[in-house]
Amino acid sequence: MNKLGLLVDDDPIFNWVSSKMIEKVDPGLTIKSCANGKEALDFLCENYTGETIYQILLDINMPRLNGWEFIEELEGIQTIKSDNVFIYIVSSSTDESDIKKADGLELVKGYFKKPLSIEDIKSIFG
Amino acid sequence: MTKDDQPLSILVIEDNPGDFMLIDDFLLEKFSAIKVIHEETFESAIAELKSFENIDIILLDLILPDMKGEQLVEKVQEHSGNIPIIILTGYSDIGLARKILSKGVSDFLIKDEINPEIIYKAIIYALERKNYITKLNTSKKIYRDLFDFSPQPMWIFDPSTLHFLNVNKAAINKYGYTLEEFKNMTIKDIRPKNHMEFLEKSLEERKTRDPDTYAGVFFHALKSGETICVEIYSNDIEYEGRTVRLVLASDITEKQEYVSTIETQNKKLRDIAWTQSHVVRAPLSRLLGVINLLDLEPNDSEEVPFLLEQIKVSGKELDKIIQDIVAETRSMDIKTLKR
Repeated sequence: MNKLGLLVDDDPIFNWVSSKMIEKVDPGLTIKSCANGKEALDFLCENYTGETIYQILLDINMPRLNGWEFIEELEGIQTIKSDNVFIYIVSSSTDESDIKKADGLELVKGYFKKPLSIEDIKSIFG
Repeated sequence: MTKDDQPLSILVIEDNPGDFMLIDDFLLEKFSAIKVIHEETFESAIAELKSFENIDIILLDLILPDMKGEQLVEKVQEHSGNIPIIILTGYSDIGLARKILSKGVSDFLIKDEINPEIIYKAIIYALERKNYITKLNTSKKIYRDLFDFSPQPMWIFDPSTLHFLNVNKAAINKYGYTLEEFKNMTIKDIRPKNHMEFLEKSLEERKTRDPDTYAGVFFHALKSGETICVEIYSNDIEYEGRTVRLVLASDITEKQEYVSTIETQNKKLRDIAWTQSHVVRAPLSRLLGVINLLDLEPNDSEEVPFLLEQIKVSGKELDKIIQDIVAETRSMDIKTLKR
């Protein structure tokens, strides 16, 4: 199975830093960066295949479609199955309510606080 | 027999010389240190009352050449202050004398029955009663003053008609109405127009509730049109033979304003805390992310200058956010937050 790292964050530097770190853990992994949920959703709608594992690093506070809205939209798309989509929330929010909310979502496999350490990256992509 | 040695001044108003001599004898028989002042007419008695200040008791014949009966008693009372008056009368005037008792005279003695014992007893009783009444009036005055001069606005109203029965000086000062105006008003007139339903509801509730003294916080309207916020304490009391409600109102408008100022301030502080956790953390986490990456890069990596540049950019962004927070906190002067 192919693997794809999908980085969804409105901060391009954060995406760049994440991609650099992933490169060190899993050299050669295909990485796609998106600036918001809408862009990421459009990308998945066009390119999704059941043959690829999608590992998504998802920010919460973003313009256009935020992290929560992105997950909601994604759940509504029948063609996208949940067994090859893994979402990891990466947020600067330290609100307990956000963490609880993430816990209740099936697609969400983990909650990380920014910044990501190399160990975090290893636990996701290693 | 020992005589009473109280130093009393007794004014005897009696036009019949024989009657006076008899009374004078009786008095001297019982009292060793009295001064008897004799006047024969109403006019001269009044002149005496005006000039002589230390009269302890008045013996008054009910029929004088220049005035008699009820009118005489009333006129003498106008000048006698609280000096006890004992009426001297004949058999024929008993009915009148009884009637006059209700006007506040101490006693009446029938001339044909007077003897030293009777006159002595009447005088001593009258003096004792006067002392007792004076004490009672003093304590009555103390309780009245507690109401009248209480620094907190207080009033009494009739729970069935809602009319004000009495209000104290602090209430007059606070609400701006005179006592007469208050007495023509009901407690509805000090409520804002749109609070009538609320007032009726709270009065209904008051009927079923245990009459504990704290009634709650209400809005009241002053004569000036201004609305104030008051904390009300009330109690049912007996007043002039019926159950009425005594109310104590303390103006907490300023206190409320202060609380609301603090609440506004708290909200601002919460906003700042939220900003702190979300906005400040964004550049900070990026900064730390870049540093994490820098750690992993070899020193001679071509990425190093770019990473350092990113650290600088994030640092500046963070600095700007912190300056904004400081400016916002500084604007939280308690005075400028007041409504």
